[in-house]
Amino acid sequence: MKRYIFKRLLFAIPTILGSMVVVFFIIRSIPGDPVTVKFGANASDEQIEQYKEEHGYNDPMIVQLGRTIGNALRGDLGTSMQGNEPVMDMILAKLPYTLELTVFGVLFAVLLGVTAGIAAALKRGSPFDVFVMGANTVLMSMPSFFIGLVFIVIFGVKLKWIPVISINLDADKRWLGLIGPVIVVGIGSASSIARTTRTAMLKILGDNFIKVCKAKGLSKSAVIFGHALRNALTPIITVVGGTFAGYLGGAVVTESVFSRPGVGKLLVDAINARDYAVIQGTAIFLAVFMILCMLVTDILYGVFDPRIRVQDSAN
Amino acid sequence: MKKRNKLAALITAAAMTVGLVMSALNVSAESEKVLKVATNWEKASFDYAQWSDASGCKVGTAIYETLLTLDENKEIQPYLAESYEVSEDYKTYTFHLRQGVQFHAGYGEMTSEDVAYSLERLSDPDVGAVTAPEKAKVSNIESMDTSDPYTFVLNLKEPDVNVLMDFASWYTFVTSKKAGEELGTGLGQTPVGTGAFEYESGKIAESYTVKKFEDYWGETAKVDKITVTLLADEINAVNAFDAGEIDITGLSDANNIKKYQDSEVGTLTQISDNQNYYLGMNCTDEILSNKEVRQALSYAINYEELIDAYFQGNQKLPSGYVPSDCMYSKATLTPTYDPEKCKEMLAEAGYPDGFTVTCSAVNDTMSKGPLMVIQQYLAAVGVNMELDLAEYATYIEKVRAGEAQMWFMINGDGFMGSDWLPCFASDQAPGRNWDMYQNPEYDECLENAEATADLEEKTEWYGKAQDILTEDMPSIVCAEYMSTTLTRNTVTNVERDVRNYIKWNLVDITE
Repeated sequence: MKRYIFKRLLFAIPTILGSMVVVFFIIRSIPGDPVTVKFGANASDEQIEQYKEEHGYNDPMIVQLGRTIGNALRGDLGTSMQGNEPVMDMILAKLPYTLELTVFGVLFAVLLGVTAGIAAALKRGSPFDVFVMGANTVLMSMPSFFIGLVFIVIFGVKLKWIPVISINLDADKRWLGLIGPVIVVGIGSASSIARTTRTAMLKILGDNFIKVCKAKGLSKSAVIFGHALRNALTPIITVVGGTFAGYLGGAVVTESVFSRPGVGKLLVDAINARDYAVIQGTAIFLAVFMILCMLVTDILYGVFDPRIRVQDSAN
Repeated sequence: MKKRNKLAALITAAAMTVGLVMSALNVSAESEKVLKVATNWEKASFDYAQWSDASGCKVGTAIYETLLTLDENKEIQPYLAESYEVSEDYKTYTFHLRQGVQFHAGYGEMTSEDVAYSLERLSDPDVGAVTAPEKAKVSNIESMDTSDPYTFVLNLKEPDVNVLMDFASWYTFVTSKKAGEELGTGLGQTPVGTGAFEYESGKIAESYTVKKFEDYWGETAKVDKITVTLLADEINAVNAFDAGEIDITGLSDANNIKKYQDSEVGTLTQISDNQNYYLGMNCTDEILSNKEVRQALSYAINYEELIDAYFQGNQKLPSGYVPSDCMYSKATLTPTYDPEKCKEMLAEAGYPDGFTVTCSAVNDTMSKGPLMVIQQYLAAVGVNMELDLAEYATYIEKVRAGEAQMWFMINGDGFMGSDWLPCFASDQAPGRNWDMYQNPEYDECLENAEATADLEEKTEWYGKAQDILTEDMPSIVCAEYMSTTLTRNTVTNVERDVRNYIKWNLVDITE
């Protein structure tokens, strides 16, 4: 396993470098000049040119790329052009918002999705199963901004149970500000987790070893949670891993609706302003996180399914 | 059993203690007057060197201050400087600083060294200043004498008659030298000024709090704190207002404005935002280089209908190339809708059957919406206007390069009309001059206005420049942009100065 992890981490280096190069060229290939955006529509050309010259924007592409990679290897992700602030500081400032939304969002999605999926599998064909699957379809089809706005209007504006603005809250109310975003971000993923869990559970529940477990007189809960669920976990982990990685950079809509300044929103704002350093830095950061997520997912496969461990050792 | 009882008593006591502490905290929090402001856009930094205008920071004018200010008659008045003298050759300006003015966060008393540092840092590459160095004309500074801590002497290389106005503008805000040297670029996150409010916590362009500065030299603030939260989508601001979470917000959506017109909880105020809706025309274009064509198109737009029907009365008929409340504004325009005259003029110009043009605009509601109405007006006179919609960065690059045949945008450059009018100067094309307009007579007017220290003469030259624009019509001014603010009725004394900056220290909250 250690060797496997080491190998995966080694492969991460070219992946990160590759993503840096790709992002570098993609962002520079789209129209729009970052210095003009910084200086405003009515700045003079002289001001813009002087800034570009002073800050290396007129250097050949290859020189700029080399500088970007060199600095990144030294742990310097550059300075934001818009705010003149180190990119690393910006990411670290946004990270708590993103991490708490990601962790609690995934937890909520897993709890709701797995529970609903197991229950639907056990009551296959029943009205409950039909309801769960129907609700899944509806929730998966609803855009998260719509769910978010409805949620805010009902629970924030009308009932005043949760704050509409979920940042800069007093410490004792901070968790209240997290309820809305967590539910909105988690509910869509809970649907896909429920669907995956149901399918996997149905397949496992029909296997012979489950019949053996029942024949041995094991309790229902021991059969479901100790044997069936454990064997059904592999596809669920895949979905959860992807969800976790997706939330890190992809919860932009939820962040916008609830006015939360997360990493995803930082990236989108930076793209709009063509803030190259922030785009590059955030992309590297997200690439590293994605790789770690995938690595943890792979390790968890082995933890929950010994067959994968055996297969890996054999290889 | 006894153990259980003890445990229960302990838990109850702990819960009561926590409850008491929390309620005490709540009482102290409730007794504070906190004004909650929402904004839909903000600069990414508190450092004014990073701004291109003062609206970049919602409460920037409550944090930083200038040596001079403008009164309601747009005349220069002392502020952080108690008095000033100007040499006859306009090369030496002496400011006698107010004594006892303290900087925020314990950075000490303001002296002439701080004023000099505030200007010097604009040229520091590490500061990465944007338009402030050019606006403050730092390259024209010969030397600064700070030998007396309360006298700041500015010696210039070349005479400049406009320095006093510069020292009443945001780009000459005064910050602490000590703070600047200690914090470096950190000033962008934790600003230090002399204003009525000092930074407390949070982050600009997210959510931050400023608190009353107890050692303020002027009238101390009525509220204890102001929190400013960025709510980019207006619907979020409306929801937050309805939920009682914000007290002041800007509105631009006509439906939202309508919603609060007869509201019992909030009051709407509309002020000119020193910007106009411009329909620009590239004066180097084969068709639009013809002055008659440009003039003709100005008759195709039904200005009153556009304002009454589309904007639901929330914008204003345009009065001139410089918005009406700006310094040096002259009412030169008489918006006239006369499609028949437009067709006649187009026929005379050689386009009896009209023509096709492409108009570039930002792909957002504020641009696209009114532009689609204008598209219909032009279609009625035989002009087929195709829209080239793009995101802001792409759009700006194209229009600045002079590559757009026509363009549409709300634009302006703040309160000073003298900052905006150079956008039509020949030497600014391409670049600031999106119309690629060239007229030596116009350029001369601007040069003469710049050269004179006499306010009346200056106003006359700038007025003449606006007359020329009205005649040559490089852009059609479609409407004057009015900004609408929704204020909770419990908030009082929301007064603005002549530049439309809210006087935050006067704002109060009543029960």
